Amino acid sequence: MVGYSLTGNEYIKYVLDTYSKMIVRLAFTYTKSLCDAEDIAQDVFVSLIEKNKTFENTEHEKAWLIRVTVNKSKNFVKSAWVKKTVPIDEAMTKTSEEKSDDILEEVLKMPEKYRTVIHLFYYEGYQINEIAEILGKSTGTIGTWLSRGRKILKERLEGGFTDE
Amino acid sequence: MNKNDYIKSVEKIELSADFYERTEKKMLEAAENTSRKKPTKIINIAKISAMAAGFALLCAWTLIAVTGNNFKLTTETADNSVDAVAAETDATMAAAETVHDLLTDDMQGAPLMPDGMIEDEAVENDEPSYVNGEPYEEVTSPAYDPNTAVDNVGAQTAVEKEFPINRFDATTTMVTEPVDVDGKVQSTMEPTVDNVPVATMPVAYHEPIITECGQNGKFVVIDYKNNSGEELTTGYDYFFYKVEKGKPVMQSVTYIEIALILPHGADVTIKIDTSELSDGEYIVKKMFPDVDYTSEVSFRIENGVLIFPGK
Repeated sequence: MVGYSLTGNEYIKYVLDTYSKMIVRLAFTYTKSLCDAEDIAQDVFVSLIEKNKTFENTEHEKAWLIRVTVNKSKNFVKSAWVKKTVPIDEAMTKTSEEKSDDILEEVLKMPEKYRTVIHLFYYEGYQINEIAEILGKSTGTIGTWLSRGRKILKERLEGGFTDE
Repeated sequence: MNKNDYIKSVEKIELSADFYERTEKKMLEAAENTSRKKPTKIINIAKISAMAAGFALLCAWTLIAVTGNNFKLTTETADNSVDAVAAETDATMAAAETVHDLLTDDMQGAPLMPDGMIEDEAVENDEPSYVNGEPYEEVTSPAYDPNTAVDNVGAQTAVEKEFPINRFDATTTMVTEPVDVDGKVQSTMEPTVDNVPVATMPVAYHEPIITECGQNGKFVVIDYKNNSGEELTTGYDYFFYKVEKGKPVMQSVTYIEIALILPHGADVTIKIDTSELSDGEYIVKKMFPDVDYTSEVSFRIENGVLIFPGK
């Protein structure tokens, strides 16, 4: 395991310090709720301990955590409870026709697959082939989703959207 | 706006003050529970030992029974004792072997199913695979028709050699999410970074065929046909590349105009205005993200003249 020289408690502190924000923010792009995102992050960390996984390096460890976060977030979004409820903040957001100046707000309105790819590409800095490997999709698919995601952002954001 | 704005926006998401404390507590509990589970292995070993001991007892009992009977037969029937003892011994040993076989059927051969079929037969007689709820059917390309196909199809350009096209092969293997027999995508709770699930599906799409050259060679019109007769949904992505130093470099999509998308005829036509293009080799790729498949067609421009492969 990465950090094998650490004791159990030290490893827990290490993963919490290193990955908490990353996992919560990624989960937030699915749940759109901080409380739910934190619950998912807790589940992810508990899974990490229960599985007692061995990782080749920190990149492998990070990729595993991202994959588990995505899977748990998808399951959460598919759950009956979420389908039957609408968060107040979402219900009060602007209609899609209005141009927005909040880029995160616009990303959260996008279909799930575009959101994930946009987040991993722009926030985590992964390349298309890396995202494809993490999500188990082809690079062509990820390229398509990223391209569509960018297009949507350009249309919806005031002043458009550029990569730079 | 740009990616830095997105990063700033995401970084506004701050964790609750007690998140670390709560999560650390849960992780410690999980670690304790995990370590407590270890004795399970000892129990399993004990169970296996008990089963082995039981089996040994059964063998011993069988042996005693055989020996006892033999002794009885030998003492009581002196005349035909040899044959009788041999017959009795064979029968008893056969019975003992049957018990042994039943107990260790996983080592001896295929286990019996409740209905008497062996497991392999049951699998072979199972229903066919289903994809998206529909029975799987192999889709094959229609025969090549020289009257409808253009004369340049089948030839290879340098681009095609670099990026080979299987024009008439309508099936391919793709990496996709695993699909249940009822067509539902399997839950992937467990990460599969190390072992990406692989499934094969038929691809019911023709490769692109160049069917028409527009006025003064300014337009390339490419039809994509779907030989399955299914409705093609709109919104597929087209990507346009120029080959530079042997590698495709994506070009501005403004060169491409999606001219026509027919819902049921499944003819998808795109136009490319070549008047703005410099000399060189080009590729148009069309992606089918739903099936993880990309088809492509290539052409080149020499001295401002549009040239199709083979010409």
